[in-house]
Amino acid sequence: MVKADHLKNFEYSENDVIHFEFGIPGFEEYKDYVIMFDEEYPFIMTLQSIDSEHLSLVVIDPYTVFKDYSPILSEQDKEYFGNCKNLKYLLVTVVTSNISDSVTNLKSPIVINTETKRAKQVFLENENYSFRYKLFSEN
Amino acid sequence: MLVINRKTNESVMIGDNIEIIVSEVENDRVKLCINAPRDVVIMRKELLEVKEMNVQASKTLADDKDSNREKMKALAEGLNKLGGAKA
Repeated sequence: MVKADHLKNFEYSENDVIHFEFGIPGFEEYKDYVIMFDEEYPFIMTLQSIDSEHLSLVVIDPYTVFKDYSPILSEQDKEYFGNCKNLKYLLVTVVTSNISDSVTNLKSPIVINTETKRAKQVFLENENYSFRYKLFSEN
Repeated sequence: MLVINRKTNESVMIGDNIEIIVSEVENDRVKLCINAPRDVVIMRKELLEVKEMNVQASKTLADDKDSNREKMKALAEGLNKLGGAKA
């Protein structure tokens, strides 16, 4: 992980780079990212493209908000990751100007094998997880 | 919205040159074969949803460091209040 200066002018090492073989939906051509964080808010991170400085997505650690987050990967995705023991999950989050409208994607998390640095945005098998889960309202 | 019933191996035509064939039906899964010109984009609907959301999420952070920090702070405060309560 890389410390954010929110955002510009960051340094990273090869070891920090995570590789999306398929890119991510909407940005398929960009495959390499680093995860940046602000020490003050360690559970909110930024997925930052190293190829395009303007491409960054806010992601959150799911277990901060959902203690019982239980992602079920498809067989295909399990194969992509190989060893499924070192998997880290991050939820793409749309942070709106009116914060209470913010939504997070439970159904399609970013998944990272922390050992191999292989990553993918997957579609979970879980039926009741929403693409646009409202963080701050009663569901 | 048009609702059509099809049996295995039957088709639906959309316009003159898009054909959707019901290839296989098993339990609650349907295998569809789609013939369409190359310039017609075909994707699972949920992929479009995720694309749109990713594009929207990418616009959260602008070039202004201070406003980014404000947003992160507001989000953090909101999440702290939730504090792992939801499942």
